[in-house]
Amino acid sequence: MNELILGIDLCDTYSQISAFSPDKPLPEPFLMSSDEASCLIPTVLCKMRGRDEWLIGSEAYRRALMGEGTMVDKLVKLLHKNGSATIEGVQYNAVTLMGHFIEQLLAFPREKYKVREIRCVAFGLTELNPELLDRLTAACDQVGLSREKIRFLSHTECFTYYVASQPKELWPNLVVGFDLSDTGLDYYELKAIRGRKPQILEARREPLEEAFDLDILETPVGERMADTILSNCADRMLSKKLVSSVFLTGEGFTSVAWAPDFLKRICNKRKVFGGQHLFSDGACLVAYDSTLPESAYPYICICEGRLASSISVYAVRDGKNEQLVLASAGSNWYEARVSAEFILDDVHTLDLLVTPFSTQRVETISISLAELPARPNKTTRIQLIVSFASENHVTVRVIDKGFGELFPAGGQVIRKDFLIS
Amino acid sequence: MGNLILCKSRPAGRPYYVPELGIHLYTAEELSYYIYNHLLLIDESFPDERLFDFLRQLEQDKLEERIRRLREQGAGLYEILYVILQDLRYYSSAELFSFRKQLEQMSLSSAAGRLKAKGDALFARGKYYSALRIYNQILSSDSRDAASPEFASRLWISKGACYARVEDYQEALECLERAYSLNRDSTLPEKMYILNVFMGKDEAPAGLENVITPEKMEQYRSNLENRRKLAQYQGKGLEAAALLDKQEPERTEAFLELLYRWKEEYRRNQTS
Repeated sequence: MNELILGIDLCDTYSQISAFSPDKPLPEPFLMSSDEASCLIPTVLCKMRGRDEWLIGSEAYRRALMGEGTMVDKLVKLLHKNGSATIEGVQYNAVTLMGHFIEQLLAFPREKYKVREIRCVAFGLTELNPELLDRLTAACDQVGLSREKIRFLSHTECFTYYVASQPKELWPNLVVGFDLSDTGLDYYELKAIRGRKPQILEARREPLEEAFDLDILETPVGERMADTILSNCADRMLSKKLVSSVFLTGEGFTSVAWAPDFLKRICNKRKVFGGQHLFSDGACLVAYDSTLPESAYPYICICEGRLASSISVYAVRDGKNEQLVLASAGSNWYEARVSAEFILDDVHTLDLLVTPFSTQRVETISISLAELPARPNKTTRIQLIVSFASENHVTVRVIDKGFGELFPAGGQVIRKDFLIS
Repeated sequence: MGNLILCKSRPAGRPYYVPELGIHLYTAEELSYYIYNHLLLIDESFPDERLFDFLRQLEQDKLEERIRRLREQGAGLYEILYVILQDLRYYSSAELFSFRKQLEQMSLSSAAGRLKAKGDALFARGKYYSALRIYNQILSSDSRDAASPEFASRLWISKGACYARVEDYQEALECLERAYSLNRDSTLPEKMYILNVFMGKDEAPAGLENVITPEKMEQYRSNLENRRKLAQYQGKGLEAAALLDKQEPERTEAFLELLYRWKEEYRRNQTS
């Protein structure tokens, strides 16, 4: 192995890291010990007193408790709100702190596999917020991970890829997942829509109101209460649904002995799997897939973090009028930014076609180009930039590029934001 | 209904310089536009190594090969221009058809006629010295057209217009005198009188005293005054008037900028 291919599940409480093993084409979780649960690495950072030494995970907790350093936790939240922390009189911004955390996290697989170079890292996150992703990109850059080596995915995408990597017998019908952690209880549902080429995998996440503090599992009464809560959830979420498999993940499911009723309900004619590294494994599969010349997953994934509609425009290419797809349904919105240049031939409004994956009903979004300078026909070149602030929020910018020195650019920029389904 | 045209390639790092227009071309689209709209400015020397280098940068290697082959086979300029436009596919079939018609018309006119058209096109773009060179080239040639008094007179009028534009009124007047001697064009006396006025002489030019009567002179003065008034609301006058709507200090800044642009334009015209 010359370069590492990694998946990181980055959460506020715990993070996990999986590496793609070349020996067997499967992601391998990084375990701190022989215990399966030791893949959960607390997302905390400790700066050792008087030294430029940073620790993460359980070791960071331990040293901070012993008074050897200062600890910072909730690093993802801190990055989200662009906060800072003052340690030994020095103020560290959230990007710097996340950079230290990532560097220490990467040290584990580097040490284990004795490989320093990294080919690709995919981060699985609960929420894909543009500002958070920009700061995370900056933190990665700080530790030498350039933009082209990193990818960001929602947990729903990680779940989708993880399931898609499993034998097809496990997902002829619905596949659901429960993620129970200190931060909440999330329900995942994946549906394979067959009969279309490429096949569509539609997934969704639903945060459930029944979330509870994992501390209640420390008493038998609490365990019974938690079991009842989850059983009710299972009844509500799975009733009248044809479910093939159920995946359980999160620190709440490190053991399932406390939830016999819940297990009884979900195991009814279904295959049930439990594991701690579903999201980091899913992310790792995406990281590996992005290094291949052709994707091993010939599906259109429609889920949180992915576009549910294609955006296209009619344009003449090499003398032929054709529909040019600017952003495809199933693309990761954060990576779907596109820029193309066109000449206006008697065009006064720019018509973008929005085609939802689920229907062929096309919606047209028209952008007036009246603000562009008046010039003879075919002498206005525009740069069209389509970018996304989420899977629903599209920003279109039209920049006047003029027509070389024949008709210099006026520099006008027309911007329009709109929501798509 | 209009179309968007997807741009073919990135702008060339070494653009193609068009001395007649004093500009550079960067893209295949600009090259197509130049050929389509400035046909009169293009001569036999156009398909040269500079053009081939430009085409290679635009990843049009096949087109380059095709032009080289056509040249070896002795193809004419117009055929080559048509092939370029056809290959770059910037213009529709209907536009190419119209271009072909234009080429056919051009090929019917004489060499001197085509050269004069080029000179006129340069004049229209403010390239007065370049236009003068073209007119002189025709006048010094031994073409049959140049020998015709009517055609030669038109050439001298065009030369006069060039000199007038660069404010060499004496030369301009002499050109119009030559034109008048070749062809008694009735519009020329007024132009010659105006040139005299521009040189501070409110009188008929020498030899035209009998043609320009006091009544006609009065009429010419009145026409000149009207043109001056009209000029305030057209072209440069209008450009300057539009700045009066601005508030200070933007107004002064805008005037200075406009003045600078006019000066630059004048300097360019003095040298090209």
